Amino acid sequence: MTVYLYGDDFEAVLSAIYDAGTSGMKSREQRLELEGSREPELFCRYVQTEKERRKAESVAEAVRKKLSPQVFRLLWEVSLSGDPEKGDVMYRFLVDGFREGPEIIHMLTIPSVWRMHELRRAVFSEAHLLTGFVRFGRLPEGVLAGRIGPKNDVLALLSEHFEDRLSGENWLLWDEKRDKAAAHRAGGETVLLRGISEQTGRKVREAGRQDPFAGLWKSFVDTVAIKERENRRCQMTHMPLRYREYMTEWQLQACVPKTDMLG
Amino acid sequence: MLLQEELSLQQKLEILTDAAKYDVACTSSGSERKGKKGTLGNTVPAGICHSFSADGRCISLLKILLTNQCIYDCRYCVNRRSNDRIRTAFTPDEVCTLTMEFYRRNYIEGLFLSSGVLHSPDYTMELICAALEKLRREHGFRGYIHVKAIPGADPALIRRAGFLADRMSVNLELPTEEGLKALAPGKSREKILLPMRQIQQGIRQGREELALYRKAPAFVPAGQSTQIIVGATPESDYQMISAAESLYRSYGLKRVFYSAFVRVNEDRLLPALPGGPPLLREHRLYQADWLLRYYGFRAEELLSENRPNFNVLLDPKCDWALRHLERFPVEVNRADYYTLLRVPGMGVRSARRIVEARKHGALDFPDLKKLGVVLKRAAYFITCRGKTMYPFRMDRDVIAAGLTGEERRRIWEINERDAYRQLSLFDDFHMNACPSEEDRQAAVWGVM
Ligand code: SF4
Repeated sequence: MTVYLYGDDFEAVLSAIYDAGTSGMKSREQRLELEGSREPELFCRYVQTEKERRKAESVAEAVRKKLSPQVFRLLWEVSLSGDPEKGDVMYRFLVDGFREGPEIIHMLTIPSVWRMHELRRAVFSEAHLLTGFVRFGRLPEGVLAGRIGPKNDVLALLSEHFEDRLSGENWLLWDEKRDKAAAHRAGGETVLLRGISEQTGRKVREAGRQDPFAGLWKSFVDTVAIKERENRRCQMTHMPLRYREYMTEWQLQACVPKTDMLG
Repeated sequence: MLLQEELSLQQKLEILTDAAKYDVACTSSGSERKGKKGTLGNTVPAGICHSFSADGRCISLLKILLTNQCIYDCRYCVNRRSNDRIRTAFTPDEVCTLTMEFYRRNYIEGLFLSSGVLHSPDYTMELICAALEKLRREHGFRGYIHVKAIPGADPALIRRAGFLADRMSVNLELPTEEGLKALAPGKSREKILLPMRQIQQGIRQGREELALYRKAPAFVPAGQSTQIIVGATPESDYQMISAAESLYRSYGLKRVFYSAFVRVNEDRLLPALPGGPPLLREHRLYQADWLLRYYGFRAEELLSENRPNFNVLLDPKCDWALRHLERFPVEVNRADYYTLLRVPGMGVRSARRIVEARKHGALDFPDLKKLGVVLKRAAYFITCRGKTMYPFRMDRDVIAAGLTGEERRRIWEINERDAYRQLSLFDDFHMNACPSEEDRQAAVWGVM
């Protein structure tokens, strides 16, 4: 078994797919693996793929031409997934795709196609949840600052959303897990940044707590619940703990402690 | 009663949120408006949940009353005139500040503004319009607005509000005239239906104008909704869903919300409800409502004068299927979309996927599972390539026993308030979406 190791971005995955696809070996004799996601195994030959624009373009071109632009879009979306298997799923999907043709995207009974749709769905559902759960806090400088730590790399999808919605505001949204950020200037463009300074990071973390509207929001959230219908478990199901640490209404204490939540 | 004006914004917010919370509608779906460079806000058709309150309900909108003062004395309502409570009102500026600042911080999708009736319906509606005008024009707010139409207000005022809002609603509250008479002196069915009709006509006219001139301003683009209280009066489930059905049909409503009655007032005409709000009943009504809107069922297929209430042990779709065993099993590889939709354990999404997937080869049970079919239920009602999943007798009692085992657990959970109706509702219909997304589901799958 030959294993192609790839780094965590779209170009790197496509490069690994290129290497696997042009190796002349059968697909069942090789697989893709995200660097550092697994312990090395005996009897495997590990190949470190070089990420190269040329290789990525070549795969992209073949997909767009022989399959369809939608298939290409699907590949990009799945590449945002936080699942370490994604590269291998994308590879197998393309092997099946080049055999079946453009209709592949609908053939949900083929396992690789099914997995692609599942991964995509996970990316979009997290992005959708976060369009609601992201909280901005006003920094003393006037900028609205927010922080996320999602499982999937949804910053690009989210910044598209907020670019349209908060067009007239200065805002910064920071993915602290990947140390990437999107910054928007009022009435202008949104740019993606590869990281922010430690000092800015600290400020962003504090943003929600200093904001006077945070307290008003918290009292709204507390008051709007109907106590005769209290249902903490349901609240929990809809709003998993991993999002809460980022949400203003849960950060301000006086808030119900976690033990209460677990009943 | 005197309006208290010397309260802080925080105090007003608490009072006017507390008074607004019994209105269950909190969705922000059904409207699509792009943002505009340099301004604040847009709307997305899917609707977005921003938080969940301790009762497990989605928080999408800043749901407040303009004032909790009211000249009426509806017996079920916290704001009724005869209740001794602190009364206050927001100024239009306060409404704007809260909406804009909450929206900027991504706390909310927009505003849901309702109100008690201060002085007169016209006076109140005028205040509502002033607040919305300020928000839209002065502040350039492009987010979602849901506003109440006050029955009895001048049609010109309701029209004004309709051009500012995304959704309007008039609450029917009680499904029959007798119910209203008993509990809501001063209200009548006729008075409630009048503004509903007006909004419906406004929407229709708006669509025509939009077809003619593309730039015509949109009138209530997200449609209108209403709310019915469940269990405050003795109406049957059949009366409830028949009322809902006719509202969908004759008034073109987008949504009917059902709200399990919470006894907030001591009043001898109100039921005691020792078990708390009738959540299971509310749950069954929501399930049935889905069947009406998305699954092509009619009210009289589900219930009748002789069987006026839903089975507590089975969801309405399973219940219907059990009474129509002659139509089953259906062959998954051949049955048309609408036939598939009627199979318990199949939803709009899975039925669609089946129709798509079987073009590429015959389906078997493991495939169905991948396509999102709940086999625990569907197994009794389908065949794949002529075979059932496992051998069993096509017998009502046998199937009912199989189905209720699973359902019992869920009912227990609802009664224990350990599960949430909308959670299990989504479960029933196999949607991995959040509660406010139903309209998008409909739009995506073209089953409006
Ligand atoms: S008119 Fe509305 S606010 Fe006033 S008492 Fe009746 S239900 Fe309550």
